[in-house]
Amino acid sequence: MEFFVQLLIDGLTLGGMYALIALGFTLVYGILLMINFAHAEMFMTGGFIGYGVLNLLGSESTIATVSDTLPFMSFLQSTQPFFTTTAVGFILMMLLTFGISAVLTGLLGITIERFAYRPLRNSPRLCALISALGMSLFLQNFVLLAVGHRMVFPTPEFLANLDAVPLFGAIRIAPIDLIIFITCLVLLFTLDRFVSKTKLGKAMRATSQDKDAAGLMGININSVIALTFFIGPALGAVAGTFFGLKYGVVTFNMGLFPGIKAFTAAVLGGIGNLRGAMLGGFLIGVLEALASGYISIAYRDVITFAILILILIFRPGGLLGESVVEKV
Amino acid sequence: MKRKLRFILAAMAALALTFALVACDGDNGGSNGDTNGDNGDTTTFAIGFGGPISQGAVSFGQGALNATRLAVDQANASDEARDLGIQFRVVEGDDQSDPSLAPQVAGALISERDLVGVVGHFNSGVTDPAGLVYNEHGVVQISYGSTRPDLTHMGRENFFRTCATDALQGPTAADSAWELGFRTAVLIDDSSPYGEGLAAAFKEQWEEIGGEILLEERTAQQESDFAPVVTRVNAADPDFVFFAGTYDSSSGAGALFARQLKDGGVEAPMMGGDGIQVDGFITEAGPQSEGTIATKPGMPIEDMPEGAAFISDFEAEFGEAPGGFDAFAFDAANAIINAVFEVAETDGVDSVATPAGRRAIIEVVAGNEFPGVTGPVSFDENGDSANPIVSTFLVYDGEWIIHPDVPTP
Amino acid sequence: MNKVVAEHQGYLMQATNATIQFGGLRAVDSVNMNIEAGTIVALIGPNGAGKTTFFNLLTGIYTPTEGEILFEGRSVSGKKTHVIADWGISRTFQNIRLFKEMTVLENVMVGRHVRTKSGFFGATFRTPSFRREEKQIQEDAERWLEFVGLIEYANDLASNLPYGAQRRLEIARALATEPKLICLDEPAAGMNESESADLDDLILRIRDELNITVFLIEHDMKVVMNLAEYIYVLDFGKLIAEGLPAEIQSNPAVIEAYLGQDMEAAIKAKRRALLEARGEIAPETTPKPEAAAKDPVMMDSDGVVMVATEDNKEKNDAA
Repeated sequence: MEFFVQLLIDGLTLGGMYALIALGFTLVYGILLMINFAHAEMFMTGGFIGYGVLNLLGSESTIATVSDTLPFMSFLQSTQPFFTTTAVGFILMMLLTFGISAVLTGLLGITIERFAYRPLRNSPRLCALISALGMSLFLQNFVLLAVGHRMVFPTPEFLANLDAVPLFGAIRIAPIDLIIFITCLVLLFTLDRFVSKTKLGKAMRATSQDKDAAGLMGININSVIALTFFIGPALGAVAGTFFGLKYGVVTFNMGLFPGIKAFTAAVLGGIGNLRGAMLGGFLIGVLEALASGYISIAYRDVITFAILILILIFRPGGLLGESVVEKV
Repeated sequence: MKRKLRFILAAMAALALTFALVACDGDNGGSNGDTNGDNGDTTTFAIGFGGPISQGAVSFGQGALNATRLAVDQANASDEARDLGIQFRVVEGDDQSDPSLAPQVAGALISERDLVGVVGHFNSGVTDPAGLVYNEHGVVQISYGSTRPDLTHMGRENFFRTCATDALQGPTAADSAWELGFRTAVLIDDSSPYGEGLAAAFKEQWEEIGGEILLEERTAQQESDFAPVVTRVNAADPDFVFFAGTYDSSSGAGALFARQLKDGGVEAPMMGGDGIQVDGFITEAGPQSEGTIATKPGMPIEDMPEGAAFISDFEAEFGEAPGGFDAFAFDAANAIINAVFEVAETDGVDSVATPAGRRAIIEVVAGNEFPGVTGPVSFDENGDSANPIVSTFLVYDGEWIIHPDVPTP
Repeated sequence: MNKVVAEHQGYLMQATNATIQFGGLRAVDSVNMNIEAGTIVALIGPNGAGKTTFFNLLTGIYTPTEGEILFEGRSVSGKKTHVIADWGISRTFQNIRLFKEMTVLENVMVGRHVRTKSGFFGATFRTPSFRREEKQIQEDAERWLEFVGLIEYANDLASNLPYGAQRRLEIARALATEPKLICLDEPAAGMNESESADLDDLILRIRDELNITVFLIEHDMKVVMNLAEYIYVLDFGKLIAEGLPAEIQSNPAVIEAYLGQDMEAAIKAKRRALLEARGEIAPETTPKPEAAAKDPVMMDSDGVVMVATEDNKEKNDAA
């Protein structure tokens, strides 16, 4: 029982990250009917930006280097101890790290849409797909050359000193896992509310259902698309930064596997369906954990994907998608 | 709209600047050791270096490349080189730890007309296919880090290695663990040829001496999340966890695994082979690496007669201490350089880069013995190091030290 | 600009020589048209005459290849649909295009988008003004639902509504944008007698109570004659007649257009030409079965629906 619960916790944490990435795939698909293959790179870029910000706020050596070049940045030297050691500072630093990473990655997403996808919006869909693949390779290689192939992600001192949270029996959750899980839930809930309740959310849904009609109702389609390309990458960046915090490293090609898993999660849930992507993410995370816990981690992808194929045979549109795949 | 665009561009520029600054912090840069000795009547020979330089297990590639450059620079400054009128240059072959790139990289090295030998490669899975090419062209190949046992049993008379094999490392690891009082193990390999070989060799010896294996697992090299495995390790509650793989997550995941083991509350230490015995492992796994045990072929170089000079020369030229398999690469390069000197002396400088000269180089390498940084360098009839010593290390206070409780042979 | 406004004073919408050409086909050909504010104007003509295409020009889906359409003195050419919606033109669709996976109330709330101000910032941080506005949007939307008599369906999915109610919901959604000109594309299509009578009543209330100018495409001559104060007749993209209802009823050219013996063949040929020109069907193949099965000659919506449906498909594909 304890074993099972522990695996469940492992899976839900991982699943939360998958869900965050999956939302980016599903949002863009919902509106443009396009698979944004560069989205996995938003996750990666977000991780690298998070790496940069966290170093800028918390690493003495980075602050020293930066201050040498840009003297006005030297104020960071005095804030560094506050950020790294105190609880309030830690929370503030996390908020800044995630906020900056999300906003910059979101802007990157908008830029990519503007320059790599929008000019191709009226071309055959394959063109945008190729453009997305090219964007993905470009970003990977840009990060590889500009930053490096792998960077050790700093662990904030405060976080390192936190003890694992015991639940019951021998079950314990690492603090970072708890933070990841709770943040994912909050973000997913907020996004769900945003899309279902607010004016802009409704505009997004309307646009995804009928772009012409939405435009004639006064919705600026390009703005809605830009918004979509902001939200998806921003969420991906949060997941990427979590990846760095949890695993202690960011690599230029780290988007590959989580990207594939998240894309699968989006398809499993019914691509274009937000709640589906969330459900799909958690489901894949849990499936993977159980498969590797009870059978073997070497077979986990085989088992996970076998189950996926089964589900898609019986529900081709995904769990929460329409049973008939339309618009294809 | 224009204004919006300008804003986005400005944001991008800021982003790029951040990247660049952060990159400066982490980038150590390498100095260029290429020497051009074409002045008058000197003859230049190329020594190929094959290993992961830009991608893959780069921590085992970049340093080894530098070590090769150091050997070449020292040779170029030597009396023998001056007397014979010989200069060497290094030709880089960046295999990115990717077996599918091996034939290409090897082909590019072979295409250098003045090539006299190749130092490399690192990954066993790359060394094998690249070796086919060198073998075909009769060029001597000395690997500095490929420890898979069967590489020296493929009938390639041009292949040698300066490092010990897993056939030796695995059993030593098992013996050391027993020595440390461990009786139950969890055995995990990373599905790489190296990992599988090491795991098999370890397992055979471990069960032979009476150790128990509670759980055997296999992960993918690209794996980043080990939470379920950690949960299983916790359930199995072993004395130690043997991880047969490399530390680098682009070619193995040792550091991530070590970190998650500790984070997941596993008290038992992790133990591994030379694949994790690098400083990068400690940097990446952080404080969670404390107490990790690893075996590694050879003695700690600082304890060797030639070691101190090598370390200080290396630091002087590249600004950082040698690590990983750098000393083996240094010895491999010197084995080739010494053979070239000898062939040039007996058969003349002009014959060195001919098929006959290359054959002579192989023969000299096979029969030669010289004092290297890692101990006396000579090879047995298969091409394996005749001086295979495996030492056991421990991460203590953020550094690899010789394990105080395991006697070094 | 001021000069233009001055010249067109009195007309809400003025089309001058408006033309759109698809390949070799002029789907709307040199149309001149004036609509006075506060009137109900009908646009009639056989199927494939270019009526919906004219709506598409007016609302910014297409850009005229020649000529100009002015709305309150401003040219709609090249303007994005949402800008034109903001100016005050709204419309419904011949083949109903509701947001099917949203509730009835949400559909109307989307229509409020253009008249509200809160942006991403407000939505993210849920500022008080944002919340006030969200509440206001909902109240407004409910008011429009009451106006068209659908308030009891507010929380149903739009796709679950009966057909006639869906048409009225489209009108409510269009009204929610607070237009000055509402373009109704065959609002009575598929309605029974009593629904049709209710619709007449609704359209009159839109003009009389809301003071919104109504521009109407309709095949149901009863509806047209009951409501329209002025009528334009299109055939093969050209304006063939205009005038008061009584004049149109007795106009020989109109009767010819509607009852001409060669009408069936002509319309078929024309539709083919249109589709071929736009590359949506291969030349010289049999027409699609569903199109062929229906009789395109009479005043059902077949011909134009066909065009409009293909049109949707194209848009979706392009996206």
